[in-house]
Formats: sequence, C-alpha cells, structure tokens
Amino acid sequence: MGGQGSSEIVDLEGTIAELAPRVLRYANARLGDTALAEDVAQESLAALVRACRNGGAPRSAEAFVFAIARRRAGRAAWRRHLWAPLELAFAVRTEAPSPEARAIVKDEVLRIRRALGRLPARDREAILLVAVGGLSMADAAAALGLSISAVKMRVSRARARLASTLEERHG
Amino acid sequence: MDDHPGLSLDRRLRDAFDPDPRAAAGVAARALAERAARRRRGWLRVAAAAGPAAALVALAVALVRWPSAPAPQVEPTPLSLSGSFTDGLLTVPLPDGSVSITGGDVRLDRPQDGCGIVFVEGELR
Repeated sequence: MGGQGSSEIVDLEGTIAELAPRVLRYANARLGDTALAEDVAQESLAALVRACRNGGAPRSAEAFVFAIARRRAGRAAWRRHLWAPLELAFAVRTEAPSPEARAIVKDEVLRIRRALGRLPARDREAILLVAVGGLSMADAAAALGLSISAVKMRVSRARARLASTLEERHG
Repeated sequence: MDDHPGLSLDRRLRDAFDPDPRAAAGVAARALAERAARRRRGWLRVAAAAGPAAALVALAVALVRWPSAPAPQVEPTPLSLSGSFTDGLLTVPLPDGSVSITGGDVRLDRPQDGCGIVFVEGELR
C-alpha cells in the first residue's frame, strides 16, 4: 500500500496519482454519486497538496487524505439530504434514475451497496477505508481516531456480516 | 497485507466501486493545480462577499445611529394667537407678519422672509 510514513513527501505528484483512484473509489462507495465523489476526492487531495507546499506535510499522507475525505463525504451526504427535497420540488432532480444511470449501475454494485447499507455505520466506515480505500489498519486507525485493535475488530465484524449478507442474497 | 481471509471480499468491494482511470487522473491533475485556482477563486470570493458585507455594515451603522441621533430641539413660543375660521379655513396672522392659512385642501404658510413651515397648535374657539 505505498504508505507515506515519513514527515516529508518526496514525490508529491506520484503520491497524488497513487492516492487519487483510491480516494475516488472510497468516495464513490460512500456517496454513490460520481460527480460528488470526484469533488470530495479532489478537495481531499488538494488539502494534501496545500499542506505539503506550505511545509506542513503530514506524517501519513494516506491517513491525512482519507480523514479529510471521510469528513467531506459525510458533509456532502448531509448536504444532499438537505437539498434533495428542494431539488425535487424544482425538478432539478428526479427520484427515478435515468435509463443511462440504470444501465451503468450494475446489479453487483447494487447488491454490495445494499449489503453495506445493512452494516452499522461504524463498521461500514472501517471496512470502506480498509477494503475500498486500501488503507493499512494503522492508517485507518489514524484516519478514524481509533486504536488499531478497534479498527481490526470493526473490519473483521464488517467482513463477516457482509460475507453472510452477500452469500444469503446470492443463494 | 492482503493475506487475510477476506481477500476476495475486499477485492469484490474494490471492483464494485472502481473509478474510471481517466476520472482519477483528472482528479489528481486538478488537485495538483488547485493552489493557483483556489487563490484566484479566493479573490473572487472576497470580492463577491465584500459588497454584501459592506452593505450590511452600512445598514447596521444606520440602524444604530438613526434612533440614537438627537432629535431636533423645537422650542415652543409662549404666545397666544387669534385668527378666524371660515369655510373650513383657519387663518391666523403670525407675530412675524405672515399669515398661516390652513384647512381643507389648502395649506399655505408664507413667512415674509425666507420660507418654512409654521405649526399652529391651540384651542379653536
């Protein structure tokens, strides 16, 4: 997982390029909205760029970026909940997905999204960071502000529950 | 790190939400170029916020100063006036030589020198 354990990021561009698909994937899983996910990923990575250019490179670039992505995704989800009724009222958005969106969203994604939705929020957050975002347990712990053992426990619980949910739905 | 039993599950999750590589590259490029863009947007934000902020400050200052401004002092003149009230018109000769004619649709205050408004208050008999 190319973690940045040092206090200096030697290759900022390389680090950003390596982190971009992972943060984007994580934001996509959290929000289910490509445009919103891109905004969250970009803002999180830009925060790292600013921190590095201002001489305040974080100890772990991964933990730093994902901690920001996590907060921003949470805020974006709230904003979306708040704006949704207005958007519907002004016909900016419709409840039903477009035919194009329906074609893009595969059954598998829907199945996994539903299974993730059945997890407790804390466990879901942990497994998204570790499995989808590709963070190490240590970085996930730093991003969540928890101990490594607590993260391990949450991830293990989430994996077990996800596996059984996906299995029973599959069977 | 991938030697845990949930390896296939993790891969399945990753595959489900895998982003378009071009989108990821675009995000990375924009993040790296963000500083200059943010600075430009920062000035725009400052300019956009300055107008309404200045208007709000001016309004707040006006609202504070207006009620607290001292009212103009009008000294009452202790004198008695007598006039006539005919056909709805009150005609009162004033001490300065002018005549105040008030009533109906007419209000005609004509001081001899300069101009102004004469308020007449009293008991009509």
